[in-house]
Amino acid sequence: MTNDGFNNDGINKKVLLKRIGQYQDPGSVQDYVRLGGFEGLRRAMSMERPQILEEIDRAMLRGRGGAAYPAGRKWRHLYDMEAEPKYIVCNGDEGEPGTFKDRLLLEQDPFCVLEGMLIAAYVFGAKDAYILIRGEYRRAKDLFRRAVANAEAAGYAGDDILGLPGFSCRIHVVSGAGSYVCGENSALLNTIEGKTGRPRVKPPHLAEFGLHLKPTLVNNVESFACVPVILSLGGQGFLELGTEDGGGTKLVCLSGHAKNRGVFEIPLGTPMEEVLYGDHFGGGTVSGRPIQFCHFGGQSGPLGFPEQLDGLFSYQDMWDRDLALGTGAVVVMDDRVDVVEYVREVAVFFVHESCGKCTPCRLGATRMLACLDGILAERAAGGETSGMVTELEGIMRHVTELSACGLGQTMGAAVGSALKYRRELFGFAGEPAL
Amino acid sequence: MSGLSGLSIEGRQSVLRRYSDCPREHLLDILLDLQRAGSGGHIDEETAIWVAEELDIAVAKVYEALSFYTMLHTREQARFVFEVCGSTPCFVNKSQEVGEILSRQLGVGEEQMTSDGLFAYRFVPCFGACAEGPAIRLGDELYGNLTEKRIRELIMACRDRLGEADKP
Amino acid sequence: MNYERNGADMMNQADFYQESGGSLALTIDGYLCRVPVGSTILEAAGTLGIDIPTLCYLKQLAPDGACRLCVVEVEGGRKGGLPAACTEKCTEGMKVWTLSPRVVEARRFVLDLLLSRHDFQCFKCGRNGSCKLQDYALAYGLTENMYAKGQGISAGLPDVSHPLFTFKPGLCVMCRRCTRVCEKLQGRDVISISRRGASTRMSPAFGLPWAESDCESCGNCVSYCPTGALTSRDNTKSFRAWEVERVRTTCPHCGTGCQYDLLVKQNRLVGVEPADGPANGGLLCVKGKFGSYKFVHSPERLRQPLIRREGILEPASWDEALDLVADRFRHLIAEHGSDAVAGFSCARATNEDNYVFQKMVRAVFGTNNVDNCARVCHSASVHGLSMTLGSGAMTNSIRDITREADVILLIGSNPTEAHPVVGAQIRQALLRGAKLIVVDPRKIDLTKQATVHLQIRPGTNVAFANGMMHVILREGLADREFIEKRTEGFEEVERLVAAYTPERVAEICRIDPEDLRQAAILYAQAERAPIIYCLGVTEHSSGTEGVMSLSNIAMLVGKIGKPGCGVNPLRGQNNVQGACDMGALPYDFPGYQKVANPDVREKFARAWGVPMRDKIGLTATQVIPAAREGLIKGLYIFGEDPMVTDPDTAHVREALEGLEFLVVQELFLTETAALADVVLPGVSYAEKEGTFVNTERRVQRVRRAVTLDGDMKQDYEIICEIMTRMGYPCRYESAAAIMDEIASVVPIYGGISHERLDAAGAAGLQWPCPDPAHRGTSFLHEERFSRGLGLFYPAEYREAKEMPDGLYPLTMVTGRMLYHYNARAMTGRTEGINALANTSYIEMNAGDALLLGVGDGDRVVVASRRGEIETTARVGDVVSPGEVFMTFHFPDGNVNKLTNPALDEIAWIPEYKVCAVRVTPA
Repeated sequence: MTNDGFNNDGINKKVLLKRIGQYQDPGSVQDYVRLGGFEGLRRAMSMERPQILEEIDRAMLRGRGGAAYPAGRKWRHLYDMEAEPKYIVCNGDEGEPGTFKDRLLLEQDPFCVLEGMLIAAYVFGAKDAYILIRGEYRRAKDLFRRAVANAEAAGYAGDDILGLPGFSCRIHVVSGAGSYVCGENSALLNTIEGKTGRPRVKPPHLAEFGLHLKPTLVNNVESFACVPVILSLGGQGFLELGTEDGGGTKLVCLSGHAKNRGVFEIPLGTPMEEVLYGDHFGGGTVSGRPIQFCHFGGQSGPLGFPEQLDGLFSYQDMWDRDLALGTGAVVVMDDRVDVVEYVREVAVFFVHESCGKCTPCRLGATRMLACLDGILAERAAGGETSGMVTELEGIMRHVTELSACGLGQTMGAAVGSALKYRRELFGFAGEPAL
Repeated sequence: MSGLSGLSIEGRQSVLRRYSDCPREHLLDILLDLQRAGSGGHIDEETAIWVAEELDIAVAKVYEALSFYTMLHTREQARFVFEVCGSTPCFVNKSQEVGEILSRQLGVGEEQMTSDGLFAYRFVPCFGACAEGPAIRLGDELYGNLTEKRIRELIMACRDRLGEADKP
Repeated sequence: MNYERNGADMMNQADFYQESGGSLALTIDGYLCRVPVGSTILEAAGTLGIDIPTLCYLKQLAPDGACRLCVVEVEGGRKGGLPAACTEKCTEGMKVWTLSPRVVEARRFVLDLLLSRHDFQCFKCGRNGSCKLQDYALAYGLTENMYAKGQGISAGLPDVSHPLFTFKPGLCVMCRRCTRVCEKLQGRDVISISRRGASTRMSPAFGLPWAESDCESCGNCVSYCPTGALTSRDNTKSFRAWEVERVRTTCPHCGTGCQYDLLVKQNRLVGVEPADGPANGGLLCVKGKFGSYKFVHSPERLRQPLIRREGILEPASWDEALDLVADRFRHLIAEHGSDAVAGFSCARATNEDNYVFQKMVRAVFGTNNVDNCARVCHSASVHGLSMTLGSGAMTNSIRDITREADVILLIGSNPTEAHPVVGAQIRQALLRGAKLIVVDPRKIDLTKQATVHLQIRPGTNVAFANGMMHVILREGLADREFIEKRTEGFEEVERLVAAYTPERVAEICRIDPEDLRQAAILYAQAERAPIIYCLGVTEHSSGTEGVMSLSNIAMLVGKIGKPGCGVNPLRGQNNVQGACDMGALPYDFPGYQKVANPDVREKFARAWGVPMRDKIGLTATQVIPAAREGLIKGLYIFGEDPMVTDPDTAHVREALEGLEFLVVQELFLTETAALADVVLPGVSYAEKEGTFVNTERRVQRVRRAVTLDGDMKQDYEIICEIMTRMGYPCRYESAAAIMDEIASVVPIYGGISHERLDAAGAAGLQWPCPDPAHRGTSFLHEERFSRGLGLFYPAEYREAKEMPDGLYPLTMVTGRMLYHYNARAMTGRTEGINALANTSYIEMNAGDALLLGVGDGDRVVVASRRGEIETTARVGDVVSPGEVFMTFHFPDGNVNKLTNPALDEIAWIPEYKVCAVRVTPA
């Protein structure tokens, strides 16, 4: 199989990626089993459910879709809900620019994701599980459907899974159609319900009133892929692969000007320098020029400048440095990129993707873009931008404070970090207003 | 241009049958499949009303979906639409230039159809090809690491494909 | 409760959390308050009288959290965020600040953004002076737009396609109230929130002009739009909020009894705004919102009495006219006896008017020949339910049969067109998960959402009902305990329905026996299931039996005498219930006290000072043929138009023309008035004080909003004048005084008075309301039936009186449509409504049309044994093969020239719903 842009050499396959490239047919159940698949599910089915929850807790698996919420807490919360039925939903609407790890998993090892969903179905007694895959991932959708059909035929999904009477789960594969905001969990559920993918009012929260207003678990593709690993290695084992604040390995997506672009599996806690410059990882920039800044965690994450990049690639360490691990995306920029132009493109993205429901995001995004355009023009003309910068900061602060969902609340992260660390590039020096 | 999707009732039914289990969940699957199977790469009013009736949803809601999602269109599209990723990872890898190249080679601006109705290009948000940027989606196919030469080859390949399809 | 059809947005806030009971305490702006668990900050602030600004919030809907104007600061709350008060739940000990500097700044930001894309045209805008955006801009000190220099966002061109209102996207603040009301309250869902982000725009599907969409013009989106984006044309053109006074009254169209405010500018009616009445919950329909005021000022209003001289009606003075009427009636009575005269009372006039009218007929004319149009619509209900249950009125209330029902059995009723606000509430029930069974020969709008549609052949209701009972008994779903304890006469019915097997019923009704079984089981097994029905059951020669068969069904399963159940006729007119209550009936005194009862006669003789006749009077449908035979010589018609609304127009004309003396008291020179000897000008509901009774027995106030120039008299004043001039002096101080007299002689109205009805927050009173401390009766027959035990009435299926044959092979059904009310006296004088629907049409089955060579839109001739008309064909699949349907609204194809005056033997109601016709291309 050709290199679909994913870096597939042996060094990077550790836990999640160990089967990539080993398949004759990634849709074949037999292949998956041969490669050690479904051991996690078997193990789970031999355990008590509270035990499973403990393992997930101890593993300190943080949500891999960007929010980094501890999965153990989320699972426990759902477990405590009494209403029925409960639903399992896998968020495959990977829309953060710079992120393509879920695509890798779905196109080349769909069963590990499926296995995670089935383990969850076992824990919660869910009869129906859903995966929403973004509309653009045609290959992934087709393959996952085929994988599900094969799994059902082989008794790993559908009725009486692995011969256990009463353990039944039907997997539904639903397509998105091109909308970043549908990756927001409540918008995702709306899409599955056949409605337009705009986020819901919160409260109530999805663990209590989710899909069809029933308790629902929503986790990212990679998060589900980690679950069988946790069952196999045990929670402690998984934790030890990473750091205390975040167990396991993380799929990191390097792009932009990185010399080696692709998906890399790294243990959490790996030094940032290694991730960016290590030969088995980023390898520095393709141009050989210095890294000017990186964009971490997706479009909604902050920028990271060299002075921030001397720590570890782990959740807490990055938070401590005003960075965010997010989805694991790392877009590397050498010194030929203009920071202000870059954040302007980020603003363009948000203008396009705002769902339009709440006033601050709907109109604030456009204002933000207009401000940045104004600053760029003024700066080019050598004029005074301080007023516009102040206006921009005001807009961002309000949009962050007032927006109804995560999209609006994080759209200012990139600009904010640029203003904090490289204010002078905006044509204006002086103290930040924030 | 009549603007009709041109799919027969039987054609539509066969799409619907794929999702007969819970059709409303698969509204977007159905719309995307209908769009792909019909001509014009869009969903016309008649088809939308049909979907609304079959799925027991208000027509207004079907129209909402059609107008909300980037991949769904209510207007007839060019035969080959080059969707260029315009998001930041590709932007820093010269996606704007790709746009300019396309504009030059096709002789139209963004979102404009060539006069023979065959080609158009537009910028779309990231579709997960960041490791191969700058990248283009054409239908469901992905083409990355683009150069001017590759783009020219792609356009020619489209014309060839067209020639094949039109042979009796 | 089952919310599966819709997501979280559907639910009302309080429904999210189970009633765990209990309350909690929090402080808002330093004030302590205690609220029930589950309350939002907005609701809590409301209890303290603290007004938090909102745009998208609407009490009747779940909060949307979209505008972000209502943000507040919560001490120790989410870092870096301000929650929206409308969605955020209160927690114990919470400290909220609604006007902290941070909050004020945030709100200014939101307003500034909204103003930045607002198309300022305040002077042209109908909402100038009553616009939330203006109010908040002032409150938050926004004098100029901060983003004026930024890029403007073009919102799109105004949509002026609709005749009644306009849509200007440039004024829209995207609060999305319009689409939420349309989807969740009206149940229609025609407004899309199209596109995304800053390009989002409210529009009908495909961006079609509003007039071409499926919009049913209810105007609720217009009423709830907070800015001028959706405004009625009258509003834009004719008035501003500060110029109008509001008068709370009751709608004059159908029996739903919606509450609204008439807007009055300088003694002219200029508009209507919905009010939160118990029957309508803040909604209106196209007729109430747009068609209920223009007619009042129509130049066609009669302004002075008319007397026929030398064959021509000429203006005359009041004295001349009143004297003439009194004189002629006195003369006719002296010469031919009291029973040679009769009166038709007005089911659209107030209770007070009706009471006085029947008093005139009984106490002054000395006959019981008084009737009202209920005769031709729900007399079967009145008779039928009186016989079986002891009371002829709707057993439950609109609210409980829509809010508390799990299954609704809808038969012979098309509420989304004939009682639109009830129809909307039924749609709301369906959105909440209730199931619907529709029994109707046509594919009415609601069949799309029905679980079962029994498309029965017209005239087969009794067979259907017997079939239902057969299945219920066979499946063992009857409530034996209820039957045993609360009813009598069951054995005979049980024996009779044994022969109505599903197969036999299926053949008679032309339905699938499986569907019948499904319907019966669904209805019987439901926890709460009302029967809702209308003229499709009553207007048959077997109409009364049809009604009684329905009460049979309800009693069989014990679904009566509790909320969410019962037998519920939807009365047609705004006050037909009241007209009946007031005794405008030939066999009942006011309050359904029987003429046949000597004690009752004695009571009224004492009250009115004159002996009462014991001879039961003629019904209106008997008066017409009697007039043709010369037995009735004098007729006083008050607010009725039998030339248009009674069956078999040719014979009606003969009857009226044959009278010696005809008086018509009316608003307009109707076809009936045009035949009169004397025409007296009356006043509309907007020009009088009084009360109407809606279909759920609720007495509600009607209030005077305008007074026309000239020498107009109140309707009851006119009648009193005539009574006085005939030797029975009668005068009332006010309408309220009339109601006091009513309360004194009608036990079920004993506790009703204008004073009580005018008290603050009053929501009408549902009779029985026997004394001033009684709060009214929400549903009947709780412990016992009004007659004691419920009566099972055995009815065999009988064919309609005129079945199709070789000459007239099609069955015609008649009925209503949404935009017009009956004879169009009011709606026909509203241009906007005429622009939407103006001509008659006949619905035909596509197969039949093909065989007859008729295409959609072709002109056709429709003929029956009574007459012939020409109209336009509407071809489709709404009606079954062999059947056709016409409305009775349009004079350019008056269907009553064709209808069959054959009567039901108990209620004397005509068989409007079945007659035989022939259709040929014109």
